[in-house]
Amino acid sequence: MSDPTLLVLASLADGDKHGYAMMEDIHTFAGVRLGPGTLYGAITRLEERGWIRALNSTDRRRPYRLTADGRRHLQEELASLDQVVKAGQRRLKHV
Amino acid sequence: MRKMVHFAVRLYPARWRARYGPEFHAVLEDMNAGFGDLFDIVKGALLMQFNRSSVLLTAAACGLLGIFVAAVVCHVTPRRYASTAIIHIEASSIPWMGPISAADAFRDSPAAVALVAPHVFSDEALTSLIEKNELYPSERRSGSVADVLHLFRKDITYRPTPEALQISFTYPDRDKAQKVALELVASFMYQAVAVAQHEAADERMRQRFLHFVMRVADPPQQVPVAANLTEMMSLGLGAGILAGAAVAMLRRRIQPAH
Repeated sequence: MSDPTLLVLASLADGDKHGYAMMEDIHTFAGVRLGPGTLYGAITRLEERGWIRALNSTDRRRPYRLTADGRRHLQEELASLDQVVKAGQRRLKHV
Repeated sequence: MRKMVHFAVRLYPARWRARYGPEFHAVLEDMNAGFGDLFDIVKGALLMQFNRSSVLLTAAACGLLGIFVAAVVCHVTPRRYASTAIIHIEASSIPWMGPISAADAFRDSPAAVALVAPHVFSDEALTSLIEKNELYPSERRSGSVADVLHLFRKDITYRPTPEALQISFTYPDRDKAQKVALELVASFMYQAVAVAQHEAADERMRQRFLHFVMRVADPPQQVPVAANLTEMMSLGLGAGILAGAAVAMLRRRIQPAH
């Protein structure tokens, strides 16, 4: 799973995070280190689609939150990935 | 590196920087950015510029990119030299027939030249020229004889007119370009005599060769041949504009689906 938008959604699934925290979290759970340009490209697209929203902050480190639409989209994507994973594992067992 | 990374953020569109700039700088301060991150920022900025610009702006930017690419291609393309040899066809004076009018000579010259040309440009004659002058060394190593002959023929320009015959050869080595152009001309003169002697079986055909003389003009010069810069840049501009407009319009059709 290396789609940056999906990684950002997955990172925000367990709570609000700002950019750098997302970067670290993604590195921890997926082993992928997103570059700053890639991360903010994904954040921009996700915010435009209404799947995440920026929270008010007095700090420059603005946190983001997953919206209900974003959560639904993430669930759909993960279900689809889950199907692929299960099918792949089933087929590997038959070999 | 730190300064370069922060400076690269300026490549993003102004509207994007107004919205995300402060937090983006904050992320860059938190992390220890390296060359990979700098590349990632530049890539992200270019994509953002590309995604946010209008059809017109994208087309214009791609047009400029096309000009730049065309200029680079022209600059890095290896230089080639064209050497052109000219054989003037003139009315002759034959002792037992008296002077021949120019009109008669020119009337017959195309037919005579057409008889000679197949001998000059035959596979055998051209292969011999390639081997003698060691032309196309890398192509000979990697390609077939037919491929090399095809390449050689492409580099030869042959323009016959009633009054003159022009043979050009274009090649990266200027001396070889001149030598081969001269050898092609010499071959033409030699074959003209041979054809007149052996192939002009009937009197009418022999007369065709007797009506004119061939005279080689000044030794051919080697003129550098570069891809026409203006032409290439115009092509780059046009192709860039078309590609940019097509991509921008395609992007607009795709985006609402998300």
